Amino acid sequence: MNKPISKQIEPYNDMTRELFTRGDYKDNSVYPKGRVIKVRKGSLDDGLVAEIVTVVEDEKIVAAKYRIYGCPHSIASLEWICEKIDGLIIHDLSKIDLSNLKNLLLIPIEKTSLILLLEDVLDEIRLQLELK
Amino acid sequence: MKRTTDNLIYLDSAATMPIDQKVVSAMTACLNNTEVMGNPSSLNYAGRNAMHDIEIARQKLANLLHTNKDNLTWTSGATESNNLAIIGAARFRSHLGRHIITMATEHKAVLGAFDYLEKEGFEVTRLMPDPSGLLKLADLKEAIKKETQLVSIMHVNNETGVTQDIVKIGSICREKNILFHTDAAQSIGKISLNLDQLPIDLLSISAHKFYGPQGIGALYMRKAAGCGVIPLHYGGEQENWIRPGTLPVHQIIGFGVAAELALERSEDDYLIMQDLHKRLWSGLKSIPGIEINGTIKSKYPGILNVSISGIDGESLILLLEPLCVANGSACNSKNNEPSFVLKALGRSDLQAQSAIRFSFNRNTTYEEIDLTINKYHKAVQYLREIAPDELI
Repeated sequence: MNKPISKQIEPYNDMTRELFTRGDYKDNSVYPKGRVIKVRKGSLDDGLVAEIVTVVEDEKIVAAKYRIYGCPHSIASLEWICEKIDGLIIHDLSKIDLSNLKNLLLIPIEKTSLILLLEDVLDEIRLQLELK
Repeated sequence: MKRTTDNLIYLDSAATMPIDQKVVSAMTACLNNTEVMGNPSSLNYAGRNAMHDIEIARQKLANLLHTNKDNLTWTSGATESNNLAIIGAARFRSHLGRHIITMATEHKAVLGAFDYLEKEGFEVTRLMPDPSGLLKLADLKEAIKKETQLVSIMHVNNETGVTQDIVKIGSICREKNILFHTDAAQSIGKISLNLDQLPIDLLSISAHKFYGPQGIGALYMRKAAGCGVIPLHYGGEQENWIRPGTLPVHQIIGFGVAAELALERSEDDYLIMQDLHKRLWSGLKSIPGIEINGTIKSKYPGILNVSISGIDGESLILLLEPLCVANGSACNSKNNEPSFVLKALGRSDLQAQSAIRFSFNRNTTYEEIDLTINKYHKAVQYLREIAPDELI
């Protein structure tokens, strides 16, 4: 017997909705003192551009801000990432794990490339901080 | 999980209209009336009564279309009517030629039928619109061949509201003895058509696009030599063997009432749509980067489709909630691909992806339009605040 096909009617859960509209970590171009690292991935042609600015002072991320063009899941994801990395000791950046983000935000399978792109963003930040 | 709201503003009337309460009352009365509970194909008392009411409804629809009721066949909606008209007529006339013509901006119900016929060996020409969405009549004339036997061009486009000149298109077809079908799902009940005087052979209608129930439609087919269809379904004598199956009495009665109301109100409704369109566009047009998709000169005013630069359509729609709008045709809205209709108008992927279709109904209020304007402004402001610099 064929398995019934599950159909997700409501594409956004409460967490996605909350993070999507919160905007606490949107980049207002005002940064605290420190080394500014700007990482940008994606392209308009692909419908997704993600940019994270981290400010590092004394081995600590003292600010994390984002700019984005993309869908609600991508905006919510950047808000989530910046919240997680703001205030981190830079060596703890490796502890940020995006593998569960898909489940937390109910990111649909057709948007798997979003997770890959966000991993690229974090990798690039780590690289620029010479953590890799 | 089903979400609920007390503040719903419904501006997705091109997808489906809110049903009129008089239609609901008539349908409910029918369902509660044991006198008409029979199968309309049955010869017993309850069946004959049901068929009597069906024929009254057919006459009401015929009155709206200014035609004879014998030209009308009940279907499940415009998708079925389009399939029956296009596939049925092309097969019926295949001895005359196997070339058929449509436009790239048709509803998928039409394009799908043409794709199917192409696989059956028919040669298909899909004409592109000009940037305003209109068919260039010279292109149609040029595309017609000796073997052309059917042309299908929609009346009002479901995404943009752009209205084709079906009188001129039909006249070109009639001159060449080519059948002309039009998908009029978005225009019947809103724009007055006199089918007995127009050069239209086949026309698709849907009840739920003009305050009627979902799940019922009709196909108009002109009674004339060479105009006919081969059925797509078999197994019953209903609708003169063209569309077998038990007729849904309560839906047809609702459809009839919707047609009756449309005949009374469509001219006034059109003025209301013009007013709402003007008010909404006046409130939006000052936003940098916003533009209307499709011409404003030949357009049904119940639909306003706009694109805006640097804004993701999916995010925009979520910010506009609980406002109900569309980011493409409803049948296509779960697909994130940019609208093929807007792409055919020359829009870029980004422009098409940002598009929102607002569509009104006679119950839409000024207050709702003003709230929509306010929400749209705020949504765009938010998305531009978080956008990369080059998009702001």
